Parts: sequence; C-alpha cells; structure tokens
Amino acid sequence: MAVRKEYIEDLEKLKEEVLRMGELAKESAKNAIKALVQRDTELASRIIKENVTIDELEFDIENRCMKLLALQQPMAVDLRTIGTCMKVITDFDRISDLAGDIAEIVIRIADEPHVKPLIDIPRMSELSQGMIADCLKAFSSGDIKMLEDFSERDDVIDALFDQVRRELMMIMIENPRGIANASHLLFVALHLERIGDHACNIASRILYMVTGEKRKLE
Amino acid sequence: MKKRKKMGKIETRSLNVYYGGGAVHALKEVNIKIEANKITALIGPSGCGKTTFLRALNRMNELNGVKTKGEVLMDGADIYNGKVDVIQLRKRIGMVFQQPNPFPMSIYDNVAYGPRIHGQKNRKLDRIVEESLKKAALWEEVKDRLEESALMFSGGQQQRLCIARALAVNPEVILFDEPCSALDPVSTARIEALMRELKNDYTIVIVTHNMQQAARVSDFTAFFLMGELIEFGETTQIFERPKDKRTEDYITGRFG
Amino acid sequence: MKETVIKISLCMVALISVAVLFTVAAYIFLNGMQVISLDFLLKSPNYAALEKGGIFPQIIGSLCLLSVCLLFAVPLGMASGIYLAEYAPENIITKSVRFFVECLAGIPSIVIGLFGLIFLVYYLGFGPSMLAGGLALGFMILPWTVRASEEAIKAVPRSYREASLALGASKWQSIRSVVLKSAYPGIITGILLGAGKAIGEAAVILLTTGGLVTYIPHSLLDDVGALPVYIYMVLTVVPASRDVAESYAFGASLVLITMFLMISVFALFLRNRYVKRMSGSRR
Repeated sequence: MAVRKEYIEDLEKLKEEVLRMGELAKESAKNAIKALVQRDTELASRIIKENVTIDELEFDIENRCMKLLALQQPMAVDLRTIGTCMKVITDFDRISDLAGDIAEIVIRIADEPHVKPLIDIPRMSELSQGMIADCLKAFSSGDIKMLEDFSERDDVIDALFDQVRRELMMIMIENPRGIANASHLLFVALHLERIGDHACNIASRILYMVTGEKRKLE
Repeated sequence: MKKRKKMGKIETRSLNVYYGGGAVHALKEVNIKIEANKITALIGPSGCGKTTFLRALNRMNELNGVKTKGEVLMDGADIYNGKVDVIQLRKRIGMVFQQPNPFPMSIYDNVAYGPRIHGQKNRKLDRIVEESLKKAALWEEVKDRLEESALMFSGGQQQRLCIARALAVNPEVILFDEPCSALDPVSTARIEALMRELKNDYTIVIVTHNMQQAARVSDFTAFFLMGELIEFGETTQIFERPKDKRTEDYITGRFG
Repeated sequence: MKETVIKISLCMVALISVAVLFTVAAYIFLNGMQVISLDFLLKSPNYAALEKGGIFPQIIGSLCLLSVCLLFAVPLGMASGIYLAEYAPENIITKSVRFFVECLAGIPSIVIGLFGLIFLVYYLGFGPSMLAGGLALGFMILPWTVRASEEAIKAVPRSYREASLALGASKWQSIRSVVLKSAYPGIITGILLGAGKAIGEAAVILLTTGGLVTYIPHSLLDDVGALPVYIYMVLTVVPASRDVAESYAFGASLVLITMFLMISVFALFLRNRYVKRMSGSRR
C-alpha cells in the first residue's frame, strides 16, 4: 500500500483538472478565430457561454490547491506543482477571456466584409495554439525540451502582430470608411498577441515546476 | 556570561560508527561541515543514523559501547583524540534530550548543577542561574518559584529548564535530540522561537522527525538514510528543490 | 455483579489479615501492659526476682547491637550496591557475586549465629560481645542492604545519568549528586527492613553475646544484653513462676515492638524529608 495514497491521488486529480482547463481554453482560442474566419456567430456565442464553465473550473482548481496546501504540507516538487497550478490557471483564464473578447468582436462584425483578407491573423492563432499545446504536453509529461524555444516562437507572434498593425494602420489612413472594421481586426490581433504572451508565462511556470529553476521566457 | 564570537564550527571526516561490537554499521563515511551560529537540522526515517550522528558529536555514544572511526573536528581539533578530556568537551557541547529530564531537585539546583559540578562558587551561582533562565525564556515564569521541585512544572517548562541547565555551563554548541516530540504545539512553537534566538550565540544542531519543524527552524538541513548522509544544503534548497531523488521521496512522503 | 462479589471477597480477606495483626498486637499489648512501669524501663534485671528488676540494659544493648550492625552492613551494602548497579560488567563474575549474596540471605540465622560464635567469639577472640553480636547481625542483614541499594539505584531513570553526563559531570559525580539522591528512599527502606530483622533476631544474638546480662556495656568488647535474649532467658532459664515469667516476657516484647515502630517512623520521616529535600533548594 502506498503511503499517502489519497494525497497522491488528489495531486493527480489536480493536474488532470488543470490540463482540462488548459484544453478548454485552447479550444476557445482556436474556435474564436475559426468563428471569425467562417463568420459563425453561433460558435461565437457558444464560446462566450463556455467562458462561464472555465471560470468555475478556475475557482474549483484554486480551492483544490488551497486545500492541499492547508492539509498536506506539500514539499519539493509537489509544492512547486501546486504553486504552478495556481499560477497557470490564471493564465488559462485570461486566455479564455481573450477568446471571449474575440468572439464578441466576431458577433459585432459578422455582417461586414473584412477590410483585408485574413492571413496573418489565422497564422498568429496557429502559432499560439502550438505553444499552448506544447505547454499542456510538457505539464503532463514533465518533458520540458519543447519549451526551450518559446522565446523565439513568441517573437514570431510579436513580429506578425507588428505586421498586421502596420497594414491595418495603412488601411485606416487610406480608407476612412473601413476604420471601424480595421480597428476591430486590430483588437483581434492584439488579443492573439496577448495569448502568446500568456503561453510564455505558462511555459516558464512549467519549467520551474519541473526543474526548480526560475527563468522568464519572453 | 560574555557575548561570544563565532565559534563552534564542527566538521566530520569519514565518520563511521559501529554498534554491537562491529556488527551494525550505523554511520557510513559521513562528511559534513556544520556552520557556527546556525541551526542545522538532521532529518531522515527511523533508524537512519541521525541520532547516532548527533551523539557522536559529544561522545555520548561511548555510553552505549559504540566504536567510532574517523574524525570529528571542533574548531579544527579532533574530539576523539585520546588526549581530549571528555568532561571538558561536554562543557563545550551541551545536549537537550527528547523527554524533558530535569533532575528531581529544585529549579535552582537544576540550573546550578552544571556550574557546581565544575567548581563554581556559590556567590556567582545566583547570577548564572538567573541569566540562564532568562536566556531560556523561563525566568519570568519561575523567578518566584526557584525552590520548587522541577517535577512540578509542565512539559514545556521542563524542557526550557533543561535548555537553561545546558546553557548554564556556557557551551559553544547545543545539540537537540527531538526536543519537541513530547510537547504540545504551543510549547513547541516557543522552543522553536527560543532556538532562533539562541543561534546568535550558539551553534545549534537539531534532530527532528518533524519535517515541518526542520523547514521552519533551520538554516541548513542534512538528510540521512540508512547510515549515509544523502544530501546536505540550505534548508530552502532542500525543501524546494532537493537534488537527490531519495531526499525528494522522503520529503514528499513517497517513502513506502 | 461479578466485579462487586470479587471486590467484597478481596476486601474481607484483607480484613482477615488486618484482624490477625490486631489480634497479635492486642494480645501482646494487654499481656505486657501490666508489667510496664518506669521501674521496669529504667532498672537493671534481677534474675532471681524478676519483679524487682527491669530491662534498661537490654534496651540499650539492643540499640547498641543495632548500631554496630548498621555501621557494618549499610556502608558495605551501599558500596556493593553501587558497584553492582553502576560499575560491574554484566558477566559471569558479577552474576556469581549476586548469587552468593542471595545465598547469604538464605542461611538460617542459627547458622549465622554458629558462625559468629566460632569465628568472631572464639577464633578472633572477641568473646561474647557487642562487636561479635553486631558484626554477626551485620552479616545477616547484608543481603538486604546490598539488594535494596542495587535495586534502588537501578530504578533511577537512565535519563538522569545521561543528562548529568551531558553536562560534563564524571560518572562518579553523576552517581553521587543525582543517582544516589534519587535512590535514597529505596535504600532507606531496605535498611529499615534489615534493621527490623536485626533488632528482633534472637538466635544470632544468643550465640554471640552473653545471656543473663545486668549491666550496660562500656566498650565494644563488653558483653551486652538484648531484648530477644532476655525474653528467651526469662521463659527458659530464669527461676520464676510461669505467670511472672510470661508477663515479663510480654513486657519486653511490647518494648521491643515499640522500639521497632519508633525506628520505622524515624526512618520514614527521614525518607520523606529526603523526598522533600529533592524538591527543596540548597542555597
């Protein structure tokens, strides 16, 4: 019989829940851009509703963490794990909030034509999806090799954002009637850039969880 | 008693201890450097050798027919050298035990016991008793009851009395062998606070079964397992990022 | 229900023991009381006419014998007890020593008396005397003082010794200052037991001291009287009517028992004072 069997099971359950929250947040972010591209307002509404579930999940996970801290005096890797869980759920929550913001924009501009074809924005989304997916893999497996190049990957997202911003600024100057739509798209790009930053935060937390080293990935 | 400068640094080199005429190898090649004026905690599962190690530091092991090989250096000098006077050594290295064990005498006589044994004259004893009891945070509670039997007091007070008794002989190092395991949480907290105060003037080594206590109280922690020193380092590092998997397994309770 | 029955049965049995004690005591008291008078206690015996004499020299003699006995058995017993408890290694030699001491306890007192007679009185030439009697009694109670000392010292918790040694005391300092002090109540009890046996012992004293003594001893080699011997003499050798002899025997018995009680009380008083001393301060 393993010592501290229930404690170990609780820890595993905690990690599962965090992974679940991460998956949900990732899906929301993916669907938000899918809804934008496909002008799918129903999908957008679902995303906004899903936000509530994700908020509740964050609350629940935080409670689990506090309970483990209070009752089990976790040490070493367990302590780092719980600390990491408490931090990354904030990031996941922010990611899903940002996805919700994008969804609201989708609903607002659904009937308008886009001022420019959507190429870079979906690319930004793909890259950030990849980063979040790698975070979740690293979190569950403990293999942190895939997190090593996050700085560079985030730089790529930042660069794409700069490009989108410049293009949209140009459009707004040349075509005043497209300012509304352009600014909405600018916000979408901004939100995606933020999602990328959150993915970096999550990655540094996971790095700390596994190695005990504190390193910031920008 | 004057304020002391940094003394009481202890180092062991290839320390080996055997029980039962060589049959049991209780400590294996322990090399450790204990810093002066710091609290060092010794942790590990039952039978890992931490108490054996502690008792090797003031040669109390010799009472149990134990063989010691290797060196234990206090401020550079090996205490197992044949020329060393064990009596004088135990003046420099005091010990507080797991069960409070005050003598069946008055508070005053308990604290004065050590100085009296070493020839201290009566005139100075009053002052020594008062200072020791103050250092042990017990003076206010007992100053009007010095003639009462020590056995009349609570466990926590008795343990602080034992600490005062050890302080009265002016040691450089104080060894604590699970000092709080027989005490309630409030008394435990007081003694932990007391230890943090004492480390300014003394070097403290504490054996504890309670990892949270080691984490709360110590500057350095040593993890023993089956007679070997597995890991030794700053307490923060040991409890947040242990380097050895065995240390981590013990600390997180994965030990089956 | 069963518990109550058991409780009552045990209580009644205990009461029977008490009743036996009271019966014996009352018998002695009632029979001896008639003889007790200031004369009886302060005069020398008159063996030709018992009524005209007393038992004063016997009282003094018993006390003297007890003193010599304790002077021999207590230091020797305590020292042996300390050695056996603290210094002796647990080997066959030590076990043999303990065994021999126990054997000594098993030797019938008359045999000890015989040994005293042949060795102390004749061979060493002490003659029937306080010295011979006291020493023989000492031999007799030695196992009790040794045993009581050893057990009392062994009963002292190991933690006291450890604490003392950890403070830089030597082994002997620890024994003297802590262990012995804690052991004294037990040692005193053992001495008391021995004293009780010694004071009432007839066979040993009979063979090593004189019989019809009428004077108080002036030196160790003087002949000495003792209450148990007086009782024996009065009942067997002295010419007197049976009633008179018996009542004087009872009288001496009463005095003997009273002396023993006084010694016990004194010893217990010493013991309690010691226990209190362990809580008191020595400034």
